Order: sequence, then structure tokens, then C-alpha cells
Amino acid sequence: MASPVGDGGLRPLQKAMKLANRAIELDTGNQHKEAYMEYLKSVSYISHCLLEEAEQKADSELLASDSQKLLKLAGQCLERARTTAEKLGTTNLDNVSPATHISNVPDPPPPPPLPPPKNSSVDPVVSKSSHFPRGRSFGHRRACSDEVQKLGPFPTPEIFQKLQANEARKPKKALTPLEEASLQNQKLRASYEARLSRLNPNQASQKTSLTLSLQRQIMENVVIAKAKEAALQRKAQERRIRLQEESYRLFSKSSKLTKEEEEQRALHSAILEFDHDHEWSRTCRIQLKSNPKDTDLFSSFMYQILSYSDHPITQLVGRYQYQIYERLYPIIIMNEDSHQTENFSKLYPSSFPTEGFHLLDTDVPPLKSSLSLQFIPSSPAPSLTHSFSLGEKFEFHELSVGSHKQSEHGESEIETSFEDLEDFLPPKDMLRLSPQERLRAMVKEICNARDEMLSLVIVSLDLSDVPDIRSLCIVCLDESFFSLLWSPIIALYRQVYGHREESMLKNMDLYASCHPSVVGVSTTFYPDDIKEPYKPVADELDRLIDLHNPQRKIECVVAALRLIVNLAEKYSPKHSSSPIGADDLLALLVYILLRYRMSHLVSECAAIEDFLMYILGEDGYGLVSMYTALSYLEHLHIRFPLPENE
Amino acid sequence: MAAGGAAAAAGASRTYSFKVVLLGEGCVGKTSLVLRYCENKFNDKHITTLQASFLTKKLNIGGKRVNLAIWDTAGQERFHALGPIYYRDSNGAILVYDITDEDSFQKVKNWVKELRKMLGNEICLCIVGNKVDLEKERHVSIQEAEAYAESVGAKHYHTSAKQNKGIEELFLDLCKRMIETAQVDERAKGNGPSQSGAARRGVQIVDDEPQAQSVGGCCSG
Repeated sequence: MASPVGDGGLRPLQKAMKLANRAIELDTGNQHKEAYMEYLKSVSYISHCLLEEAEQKADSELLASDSQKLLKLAGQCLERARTTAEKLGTTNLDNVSPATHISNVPDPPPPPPLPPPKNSSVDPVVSKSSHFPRGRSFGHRRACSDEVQKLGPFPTPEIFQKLQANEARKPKKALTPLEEASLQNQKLRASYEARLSRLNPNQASQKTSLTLSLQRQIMENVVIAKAKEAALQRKAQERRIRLQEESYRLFSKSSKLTKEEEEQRALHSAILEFDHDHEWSRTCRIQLKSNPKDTDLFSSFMYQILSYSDHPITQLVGRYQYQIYERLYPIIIMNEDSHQTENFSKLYPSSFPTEGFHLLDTDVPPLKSSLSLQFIPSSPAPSLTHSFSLGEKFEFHELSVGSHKQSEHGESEIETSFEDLEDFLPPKDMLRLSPQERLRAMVKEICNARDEMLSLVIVSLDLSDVPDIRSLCIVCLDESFFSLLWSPIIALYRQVYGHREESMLKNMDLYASCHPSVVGVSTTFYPDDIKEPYKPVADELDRLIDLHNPQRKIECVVAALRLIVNLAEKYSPKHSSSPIGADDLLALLVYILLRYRMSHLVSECAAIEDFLMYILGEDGYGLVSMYTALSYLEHLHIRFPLPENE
Repeated sequence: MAAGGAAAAAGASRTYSFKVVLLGEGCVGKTSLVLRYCENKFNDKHITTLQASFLTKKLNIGGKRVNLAIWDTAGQERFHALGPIYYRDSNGAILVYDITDEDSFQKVKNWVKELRKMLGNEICLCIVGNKVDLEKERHVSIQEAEAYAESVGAKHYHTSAKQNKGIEELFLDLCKRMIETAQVDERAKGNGPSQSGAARRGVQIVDDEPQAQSVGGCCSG
């Protein structure tokens, strides 16, 4: 029984009806804005009442008939508010296509890396699995919880492909005739709905005629657009053949081509075709021809190319990106489980690293064979789940089977079969490897892919193959290539370096309240009267996570070191008397990493080193300083035990 | 800079890129020494903003172009175990002690052992007695220091960062020795220097190494 709540004698439902009625009156009186506001008021009133009720009552009592009606009314009000808003021409609701009623779902996906997928038919896999790649392997949760959020969950390769497409769509380009037509039709439909909502229920005949005219217009638009598109395609096809012939002539006189040569030729002719449509590309290439070593010209050309999603090189990069993600995905998903050998660090206390960059080579034990065997697909997919050990991975596979079945019933756009499930399984060759070996194997694959990509681009763009251009070219390509890949790559690194990050974080907690002098910072560089004197450095280093290009990342490290030196100089009382050498720089860096809990840089730095083409000069020095500071922090408790009374 | 490409490899246009590590206890004045070297001829605007921690210098020695990268290392005991990562792929090392401080000379001996162990005889060692302006307070005998240097295949120098004495000679000499070593090495490897694994790190000899990276430092004619 819904008892009266308001003291005005009216039941909430009655009052809500009254509010809604007023809104409808205003609406029919063409007072759109007022009507819009009234609708919203009634929605707000209803939700207020229901909330109050929910707080007071037990579960079973909820949703009495009145409340149900209220909910329905709220829905109707919201719907009308939406159509009224459209009449107002408010743009903020434009994104919502008339067919969807999910106006409360934020539409533009958050920026990369890896925003949650929009596609609802594949959604369950990801959204439900969102609780499975949790913390463990990302260790340093508290240190950079936002990064962890960005890291997991990883989309399946199919969704990844959609994300790529999403990314690519960013720069607005000219619409095709069909796209234009569909846009026009959306508008038609919107105005149709607006008119319809203004009609009285008894004007049925008018409604029918409106509907018919809408259908007719839509059909006409589509037919015209199709004809236009066909004509365009014909022309493009003719041109394509002509250009292909051109690059045939250019590339090889002999009729037999290797696979690589064929790819080069295909890419080249695609580029020619692009040039045909884009003046800037033609001009740039001519300029580069006469000035092949102009690095500025070259890099701006490359960035422009990569900003065009339909440029053949951009698409090439996308293909490589996808190819790598497809390989990465099963591994990063798999290792969520194998990382459960959390006692790694307990069983194999990492020895103090004494040489080289690859400090961990001997550090990580091979995966226990019993554990890895559990992942071997031994029988057809559906029963596979049984062979998994308990844990989150198990959940994931069940879920993915479920969701595939679901989408088979629906009007799913992805062909589904149980073979898909195999894709989620780590490839056999990776199974036998330890996490460290897997990482190495993947790094090698990624580097090979980049090399291939680079050679293809250099040949097909007809660039001069000198080190300057090569290194510049790879930096540009990396910018796109790593954009969606860096997070999953880091997840892979974290499988190997995660336990180091974790133990480092423990150390950091232990020493969190220490005075900077404890880690060797000279008091001359640490003013007591300034609050957080080295915060700007931490801010700079925070930026590193958002960069997706090893070269930019290392530049960020160097910039942070420079900032340390600048700040230290500024803070020290007597200028120039004591130059800042490695001792001071390192101590300050250690302090900053400790103070701002930046253990996650272990994985980042390891990845940076693996993917940098050249580590020269200052970059190298920056990386080595970072390694040293991190190693020092990792073993702080051994090297510098805290006094008992601290 | 760095004009010419693979085609120039066999010709004369070759740039030697050398990495030199700087070792010594905190108070021996190694940072002042290296800062003095780069400041001396050129004003301080040429110094990278990492100040004395990392310095670069371009030289031309007898028609050979040399890019020198000088890496300062932490002398503090606390960072000692982490040193090797700094020495990696070094072509030369400058080990500095304070002539008034016997202890700092002992430290140099330790580093020499470590360097030889890690890098073998490839690395050119310079042992440098700094602060000769404080000759009166000398605690390390010249004979002992020079004899020790000879015994480990290093060269000994005397400098004063304060009075700017002996520094230019020290670096010039070191560069010449590194070029020699590199040439011997090159011949031994059958003229394929850039193919060696270490080339990726940008040390050893690189045929006109890529200049995309920002290399600050000074320019010498």
C-alpha cells in the first residue's frame, strides 16, 4: 500500500500527474522552453519521491503499483522533454539519434588508451570481465590508480579494431554520398517526430500522410546517393588501374615478384592514388624529392600523412597495430592468472642487480609447468573451461562463451563460432615460455613489425634511406603505432616487472616520511620553506604515462632531469659555487620517485629501452639515471635500513 | 651536420662517438673539472642543462671528428653498487682523486679494478690527481700515483680545476688514445664497425651517427 507522503493531501502520483499535465499544456501552447522545464521538474519530483520511499521501505514493499506508475510517468516525461528539447534546437542532445533512448549514456568515448567499447552486442564480455584484470599484476595501484584504470580491462581484438576505427575517424573528412544521405535522412526523421508529437491523437490521417512522405523522401535520398556513389567508384576504379600499372612499371621489370615487393608495389600505387586526390601530398613529395634530407619537412609530411585515416600508410600502421594486438591480447589475458604465483618474490628473492640493463634475466623463474599445462587447449572449445584452474580467467572464458551465444541470437554483426574462442587462448608457442621469455618473444615480434613497416614506408614513399630519415620516420610511425598498443604492452611488462614494482612500493611506504637527506639529498638543494619544492618534476614524470612513443617518453625523462637541475640551482643559496653533478641529481631523483611513489616507472623504463631505436647521449644518460634511482629504491631497506626508533 | 650516409662509410668523413665516464668521490672536484673543460673555450650557454652530470663536446682532432659524451657518475658510497650500468660501453674513464686526500686515491684503485673487470683492456683509463693548487697539503705522492697508473695500464695526469691547469691536455690525450683504440678495434673486426652490437647504443664508431637526438654541447672547429 502506498501511503500518502505529501502533507498537501495529494498522493505523489496525483501531484506528479498535475505537473506533467501543466507541461503538456505548455507544450501544446508552443511554449517549448517552459514545457521542457516543466517536464524536467516532474521527472525530478518523481525521482525525489521514489528515492525517499526507497530509503524508508524494505525491498519487498518497493515498487507498489503507484511507484510503478510513477516510474512510467517519469519515463514519458523524459521522452517528451527530449522531443521538446529538439524543437528548441538545443544542440547538446544532437548526438542522440532518434532511435535510441539512452540519452543518459555519455556518448563520446573517453580518449585513448582503450576507452570502454561502445558496441552493445559485444559489450558483456568486456564489461563483465572488468573485474578480472584487477590490481594484482599492476601492483602499484595506489601509486597510479588512474593508470590502472586506463590499463584494464583490455578489449578483445574485435573491439580493438573498432577502437582503431574510432581513432581514425577523429579528423573529419568529406562525407561520401551515402553518408551524406544518411545524415539528411536522420534530420528528416527528427523533424518528422517533432511534428508527430505536436499532432493531436485524433489527427490520424495527417499522421499517416506524414509517415508516408517521410518514407518517400528517405527512399529518394538513398537512391540518389547510391547512384552518385556508384559513379564515383567507377571513376576511382579506372584511376586505380591506371596507377597500378604505373607502379608496376616503376617497381619491377621482371614479372616475378617476392611477397615483399608485391606489398611495396601495392602500397606505392595506393599512395599514388591518394596523391591524386590530395594536392598537399603531391606537393610535399615533390619538395622532398628535391630536398631529401630536410628533416623538418619530412617529419611534418609524415605527421600530416598519419593524420589522414584513409592514407595508405596510416592504414598500414593500423594493420600492423592490429596484428600485434591480436598476439598480445591472449597473453596479457592469460597471465592475469599465471601471475597468481604471487609468491614469486618470496620464492625467488631478487638478487641485487649488479650489471647491465636486463637486471632481471635471472630473476624470474620459469612458469611452473603444471600451471602452464592448464592452459593448453586439449579439447574442443566448449569444454575448455573445465581445464582452466579456478580463478578469474575461468570466469572470463565462461562469459565469453555466453556472450557469443547471445549475439548469435541477436542481429549480431560479427560472425561467431567457437573457433573465436581459440583466439582468446594464448598461442601454443607462447605457452611453453616463462613470462620473461614471452616478453622477449613479443618484444622481438613488435620490433620486427616496426622494421617491416619502416622498410615498406621508406620504399613506397621513395625516401632516401639514410639514418636521419630512418630514425625520424620510425618516431613518426611510432606515434600512431603505439597509440593504442602501449597500455597492453605495459601490461605485458608488468607480468615480469610487477613484483619488483610491488616490493618497491612497500619500500616507498616505509620511507615515505623520511627527510630527503636520508636518501642523500643535500640540504642546500632542499629548501624547508617551500612546500613540495620538487612537485613540478613529478608532474613532468606523470606526463610520461600519457605519452605513447618511446622517443617522446625518453625526452620526457630528460626534461624531468633538466627540471631537477634547474630547480636545484634555483633553490641553492649560493649560485654556481657547486655545480650539480651526478651525486646530487641522482639523490634528488631518488627522493622525487620516493615522495611521489613512482614505482610504475620500472615497467615503463624497461619498455622504453626495448623500443628506442637509438639510445644516445642525453637520452641514454636519462634512462640510466632512472634505472639507477629505481634500483636504489628497490633495495633501500637493504642498503639503508631505517633506524629502530624512526 | 652529419651529411652523407652509407656511401661515405669508406671515405674520410667519419665521426667517432666516444663515451667517457667520470669517476671519483664527491669532494675531489670532478664536476668542476669537467665543467671547466667545457666552459673554458666556450661560454656556458653551450652546456646542456643537465649541467655537470652529462656533457657533450665536439672536437676535431687531426681532421677526425669526435663527439665526446662525458657521463658523470655518483661518487656517493650509497650508489656505488649501481655504477656498472653507467660504465657500460664506455670508451674511456677519467678517475679523479684529490691529492690532499689519501682516501680518495684508494677509491680510485677500487674503481680501476672494477672497470678492468667489467670492460677489459678496451677502455682507456686516466687517473687524475686534482687540486694541484694545494700542492703544500699533498698526501698522495707523485711517484706512488704514477707507478700505480703504469701498473694498471692507465695514464696519470695532474690538474687544477681552480687554476684551469692540465685539463685541456688531459682530454685531448684521452681522445687521441680512444681514436687509436677504435682504429685497432676496427681493423680487427674487419672494417665493419657499425655492425657490432654495441653500435646500437651509439658508442664505438658510428658512420655519421644519426643526429635526430638533441645533442647539446659545444662545437669546435
